[in-house]
Amino acid sequence: MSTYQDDKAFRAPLSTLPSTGKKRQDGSDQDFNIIGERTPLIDAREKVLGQAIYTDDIDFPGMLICKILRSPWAHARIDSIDIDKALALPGVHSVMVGTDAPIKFGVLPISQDETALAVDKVRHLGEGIAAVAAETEAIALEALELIDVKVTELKPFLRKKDSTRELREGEEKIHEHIRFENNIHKRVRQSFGEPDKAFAEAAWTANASFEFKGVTHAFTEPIAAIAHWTPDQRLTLWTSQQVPHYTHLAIARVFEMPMHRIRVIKPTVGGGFGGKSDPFPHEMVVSWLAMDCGRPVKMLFDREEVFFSNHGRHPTSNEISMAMDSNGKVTGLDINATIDGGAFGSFGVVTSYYNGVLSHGPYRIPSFRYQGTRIYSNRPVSGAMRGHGSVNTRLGTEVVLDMLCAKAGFDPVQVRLDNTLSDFTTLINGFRITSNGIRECIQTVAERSDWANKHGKLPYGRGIGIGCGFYISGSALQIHKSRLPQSTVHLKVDMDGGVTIHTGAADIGQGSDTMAAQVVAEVLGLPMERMRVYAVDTDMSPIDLGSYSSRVTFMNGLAAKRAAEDLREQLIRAASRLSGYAVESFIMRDGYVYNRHWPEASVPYMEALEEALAGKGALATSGCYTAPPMGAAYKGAGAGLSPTYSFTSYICELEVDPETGMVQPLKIWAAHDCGRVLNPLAVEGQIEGSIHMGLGQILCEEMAYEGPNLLNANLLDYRIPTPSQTPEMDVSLIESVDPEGPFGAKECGEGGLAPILPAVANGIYDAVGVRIHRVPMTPDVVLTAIEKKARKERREAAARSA
Amino acid sequence: MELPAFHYHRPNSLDEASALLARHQGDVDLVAGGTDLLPNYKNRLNARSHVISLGGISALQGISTRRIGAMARLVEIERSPLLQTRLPVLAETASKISSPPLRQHGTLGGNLMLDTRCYYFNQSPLWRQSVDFCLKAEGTKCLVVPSSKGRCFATYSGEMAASLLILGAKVELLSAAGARTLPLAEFFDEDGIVRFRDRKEDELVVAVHIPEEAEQLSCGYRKLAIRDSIDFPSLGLALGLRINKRGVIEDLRLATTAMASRPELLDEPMAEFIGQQASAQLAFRIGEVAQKASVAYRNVPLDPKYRRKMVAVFTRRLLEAISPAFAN
Amino acid sequence: MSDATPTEAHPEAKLLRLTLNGRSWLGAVEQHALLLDVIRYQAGLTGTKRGCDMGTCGCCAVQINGEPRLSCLTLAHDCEGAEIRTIEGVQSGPLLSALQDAWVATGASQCGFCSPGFIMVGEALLEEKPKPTEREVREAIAGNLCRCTGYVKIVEAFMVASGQAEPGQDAVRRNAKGDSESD
Repeated sequence: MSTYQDDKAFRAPLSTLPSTGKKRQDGSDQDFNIIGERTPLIDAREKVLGQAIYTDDIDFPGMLICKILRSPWAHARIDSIDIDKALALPGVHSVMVGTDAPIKFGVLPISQDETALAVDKVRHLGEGIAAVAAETEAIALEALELIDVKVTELKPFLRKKDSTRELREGEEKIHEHIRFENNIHKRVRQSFGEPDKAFAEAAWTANASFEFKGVTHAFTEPIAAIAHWTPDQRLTLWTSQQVPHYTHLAIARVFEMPMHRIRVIKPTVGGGFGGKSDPFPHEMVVSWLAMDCGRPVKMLFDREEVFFSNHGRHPTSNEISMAMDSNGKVTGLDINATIDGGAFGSFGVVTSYYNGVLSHGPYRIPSFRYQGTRIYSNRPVSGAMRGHGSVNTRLGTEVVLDMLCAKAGFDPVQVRLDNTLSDFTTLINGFRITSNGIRECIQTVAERSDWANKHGKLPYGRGIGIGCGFYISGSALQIHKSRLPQSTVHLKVDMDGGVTIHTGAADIGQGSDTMAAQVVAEVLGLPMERMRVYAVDTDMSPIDLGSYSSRVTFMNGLAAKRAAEDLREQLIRAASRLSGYAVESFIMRDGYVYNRHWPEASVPYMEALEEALAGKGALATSGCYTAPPMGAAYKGAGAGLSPTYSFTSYICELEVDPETGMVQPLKIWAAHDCGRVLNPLAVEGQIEGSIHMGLGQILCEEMAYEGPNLLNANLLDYRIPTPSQTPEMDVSLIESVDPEGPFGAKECGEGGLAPILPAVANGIYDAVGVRIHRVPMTPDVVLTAIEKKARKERREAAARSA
Repeated sequence: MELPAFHYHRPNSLDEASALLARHQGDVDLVAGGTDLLPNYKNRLNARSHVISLGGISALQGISTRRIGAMARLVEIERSPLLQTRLPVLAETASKISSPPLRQHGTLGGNLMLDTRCYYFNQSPLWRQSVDFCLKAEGTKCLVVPSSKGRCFATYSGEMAASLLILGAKVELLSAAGARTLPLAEFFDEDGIVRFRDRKEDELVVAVHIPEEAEQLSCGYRKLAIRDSIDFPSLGLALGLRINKRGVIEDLRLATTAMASRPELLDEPMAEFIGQQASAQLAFRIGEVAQKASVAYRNVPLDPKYRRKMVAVFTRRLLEAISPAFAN
Repeated sequence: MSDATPTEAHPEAKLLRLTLNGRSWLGAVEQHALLLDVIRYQAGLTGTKRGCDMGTCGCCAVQINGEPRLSCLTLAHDCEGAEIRTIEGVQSGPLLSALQDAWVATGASQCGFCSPGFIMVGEALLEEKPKPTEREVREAIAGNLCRCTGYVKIVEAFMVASGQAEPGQDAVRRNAKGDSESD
């Protein structure tokens, strides 16, 4: 034995190893080491100790502070910007204006419409006009006051109907590139089957319109970035990002700089939820200032600036119609949605599609029609937010389905069960469905909530409602057309025996680093403490497209698994060489390259490793994932296409105070099919967090505007639910093992949001008999609906008695 | 965000404090718990060059049933066994203010003197610039009621005031010129900028005095807010009742906050109910009268009409909760 | 710093003495400085976070003389002579506190940005009430906002730390398809 093998810390004596692996809790024969175990997140200790380093925690000698001068106008032509006085202020190192970096960028190649700072015109209140790098925040703020901006104000577009109509005399389009003389960004029209016939022949139809206020991510860590022009003449950017790779691409584009001269590092991120998933103007600003000053420049947003940045869920008007036959089968669905994109494109083209295409499941719907319109307005930009594009339509479809059930006298749970998709099927729009646990989800929540004894049977003021949903596990189609993989993971093992995982996947708190470590540990049969994850430093980590569209567990998990399998093969070959037994007889588990047939021929991991390293040095492997070709061929067929889908069903029991309109959820039963549960602790956390965020949207959160002004750009008046009002949650994880996911896993980060909205809305109906058409359903709105219903009933009673 | 620069003073005695107030008159603010002033300073709202911190003055401390010092913290009021038994409405009201850590900061004096709030006022300098500023800070017109002719309609949100009003509390003020005491009902002004009817600029609130007879009232406080913690009230309603064994109302007091620019004691509207026989119908009627006597403006969360309706609901529910005579 | 001399408009910094996590700390601090900025930028203890900057999210919570306070709403000079405890002062030696331990075991941190604030409020609660009920926990932390967890695992962490519960049972109910059928 050499020095390096003398590592007994974890190696169990061979005699104590069980002959087969431990059984899973669910009783299946699958033999897993760490998959399915409640595994604390690998960065949890540093987080509870206050030692996790977020962007604003980083300090450099000589670092300058950046502040941005923001527009008080919603829509205006910039006539002149005078920065001389600001530049002359002692302590100011540089002042930047839009023309210093005029090249446009955006997350989607088809929507490159943002600039670092406004060039020629401003398009929303709060858009950056100029930026200062100074020695202190106080000096930077003082300098901003010395910048003189002259503008010609333009008529702002603030209502959807003003953006969809033709321009009038004296009006100016928000963007020159808009194809027609209006402010429509994107129109989508899709039709499958025979929707007209479905509605004409239906036994039952229902229709409703909904108005959704915008909501925002409200992550707790404000947006922050630091840029440094390092002595090697390269740009390094530390940024609180979900998509560091897209930032990398965008910086290269804006500064016309080869990518290899740019290094993007993602420190610990204090929440994202989609709000940090675009390349951002402020990243360009700090980069330019750092290059101009030759010193590190830090930018920390105040909370109002976070709201100006927004990229939250689109304010939406939608109208949903559904047709049902006499047996309770849904025969047709017709959706019309207009979404307010704010001043820029962001993910909006995708959102435009998602508002339709993500309503195809979890039911079998033979005829479908969708018309979607995304408009520009002079408001902060809307973009991707957890459950991207699926949430507002989902509320509508599930409520209209509930209306059909009420009309026809069907039980909402039974109707849902009767309409579910099967597994391994194809939808009319070409989506391929693989594993599918929707029936089990619905049955589980119905049983656990005692639905049968509650729905329609609770006293007035108390109600119960159901909502279902499905969601993508990553987009099969890449944003940037490319033959490169969507995710790559590198592993390195040297004589210390630890496994270094280099991944570009952005852990934003959801636990993707832990996921990658678990997957690798599982394949290698090693304990978690052997794993160390180095994530997102573009100099060191291979590319992963980022944490959006709920893609990381599926895609990055598969990449990690393949890299680990390659490594395992090398270790098994080494063990085979050492022992003389065939490679086929070896597996890896419990710290051994374990021989299934002759356990005494097993080779301790460290011995196999030394053999593998001999004459070669560190083992390095790579694994990647590229989605296979799939889907239909029509225009837009790629939107919403995913290698697999998650399925969800929620039931909410709640109380409505009929005199105040206050809605208090009492308990939520949740069931989510995420394929194989890699880490119950983390998956439950995603579901619980999604429910919390969805409850906020349905009950109390809204970006409230008066004209172009956001009235509540702070965490006092933008109300996310508190600990004391968040109800008990009963979470069930339904494992429909996916044939392609890593160990059968699918997504769990986003799909769990949407169904809570209709579960609450339908619960309100069950409690007090009113349908609310405005979201959030604040108490004043609920009370108005209750009073309206009472007046109507009184009128009808009066008419009857007369 | 950094605060604007100021000179910080921390007097150790009332004399020192009132001398400082007099010296810097017009360019000075008092800070107690900081929960109201500091966010406003971060927004550059009427920031002054001198800030006097009151935390070092022991004469401002103390809780008894007759006198509560201005620097008594809300958490102390909430948890005071004495108040919980003898004047429970004060403990109850304190317990509903904002959130637990803010109640550690917040004080009785600070809550009483809370600056009025408004969607057009509690905003950043950029935001306010975009609407050309409002009357209450740097501007010339009220944006809530543009025809207000110089009056500010910002909403008063202090919650302790409502409960202290129904208890008939008095407020003790001190300046270099001496001390005086006046009824809380006469303390507040209907203008959101003036705020206090005739408080001199160099006066500070020392304590609140509560008459002995207050203990004979049965009281309750209800708060309307979308969230059950953190939020300012969209309505706070305190009700005090004395009712005899036969169910005849002997005293009825009702006060609201977060409706207008000052807390409102609805003493005149309630006067007609003294001597009346309690009943469910009467509870309903009292609620209606309270609603009619209330006004609200569209400058804090929730629709004004809705908030007025809640005056009626809360009034009736408090009456029912306090006396079973109102339940049937 | 700019080279401006102290004037009426630029009051000069004053000495501030604190006991910070058990050790004395002395520094020249601007008169208008917030305790949060002193802790983060002058003392370099970055575990205390700036979230909402107006007292609503609780990310900046610390203990002042044992009581939970929000450092974004505290004037630094109001703390002259006070004992300040931050998240960095919770650990004793290499050991995590019971609450920190439970926080890790239950998965109460996701992004972790709110965790230090919750823990500082939580440590004070457990000191006062070693066995709080779930309702008492929810009320005590009602001034802290978390956007990741829905508070479920945070409340669980308190129950585990106070010895009233074991870390949660898996929510995996059953295999819908796959294993049991194919094996």
